[in-house]
Amino acid sequence: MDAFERSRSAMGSGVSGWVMERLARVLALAAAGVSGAVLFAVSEAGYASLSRLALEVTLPAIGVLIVIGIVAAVAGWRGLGRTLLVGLVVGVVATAGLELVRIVGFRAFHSMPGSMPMLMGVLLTNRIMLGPDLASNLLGWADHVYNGVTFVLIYLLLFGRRQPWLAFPYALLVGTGFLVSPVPKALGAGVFGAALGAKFALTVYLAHILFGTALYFGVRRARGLGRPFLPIPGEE
Amino acid sequence: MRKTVGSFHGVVVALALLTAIGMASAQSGPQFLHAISNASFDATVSSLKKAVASNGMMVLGNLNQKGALSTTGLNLQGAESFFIGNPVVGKKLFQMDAAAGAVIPLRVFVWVDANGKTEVGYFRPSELFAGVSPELAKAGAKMDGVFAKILSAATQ
Repeated sequence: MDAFERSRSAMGSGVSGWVMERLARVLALAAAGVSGAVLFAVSEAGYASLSRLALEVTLPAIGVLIVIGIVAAVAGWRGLGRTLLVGLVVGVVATAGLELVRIVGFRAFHSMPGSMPMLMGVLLTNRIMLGPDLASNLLGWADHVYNGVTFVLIYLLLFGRRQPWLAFPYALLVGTGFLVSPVPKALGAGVFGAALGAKFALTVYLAHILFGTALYFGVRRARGLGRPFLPIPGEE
Repeated sequence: MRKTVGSFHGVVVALALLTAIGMASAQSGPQFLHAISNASFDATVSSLKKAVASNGMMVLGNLNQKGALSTTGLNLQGAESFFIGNPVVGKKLFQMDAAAGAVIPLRVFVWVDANGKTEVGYFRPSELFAGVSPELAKAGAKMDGVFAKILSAATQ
């Protein structure tokens, strides 16, 4: 038995293995929960700069998620490993769908106050007074996609693949959270984007419906994600 | 003698007029509104940031004048300017008149005064905007209200 197999059998089997796997899931849920879009809201509420939050919260959380992924592979926690992988892939695809609506709304209908990824980029790099550059745009997009990945991860850890239709109310809840968060207010769009009229909320909800659709199909295609936290009936 | 008294009166009247003109011109610039905070410099800055956010604005940048001036040997207890605006209002104002960029983002200054008290101050936005263009004055009046709320919340 080589070192890999020994560590796998030590961590991945028995009651202690099950407990450790559940603990790793709790840790993954916490890392995803504290490091995503909530930080944008915290920074726009005036509590700390997004650049500081990214350094002190997002980067360590990404590190934690990577370590959990490695441990899951070593310990043979296939359900958790798949959950992280599906979260990454579906998060990227779902965010791309959301962005499609957001970009069309912003460019064609002026229904958004600006480009969120570009804004996040200049906030992350502390260069809002200088305007965006390639690095800030790349970082902004990366952070935006990461936020999408964290929302999908949270969903998968809470609900698994038991009731895929829950992806729709979940996505609408995320969209509503954005609309009532300090972000639209700080952008000058007001709560629910009222200053821009109904088109702002409509664009946000349409974008999140597309996000929810991608999540729905992603969850339906996924297999063997393991037991979710919430006790809902359905196949794992 | 009578002539001397008459010319003396003339000089007094002229001086009074010049003083009045001088005072009027001193007051014709934008009014500087400021208030003393009961909190420390850092706590006031923190309150200001939260007040800016809760009033639908963003701190777009800051200039640490205490830090900058420390290079000259001047050690201030606290002096920092905050540039405040938001994308929606900024876009509207620039569309109305690109010269709005001369006054936006609006600047709020936090400093420690000679008595060791922290103060927050800014020039009345409507007067700054009116100085650029009469078209902007209405938007400036809205900002007057917003900044009054920010000042009040930051110095509570």
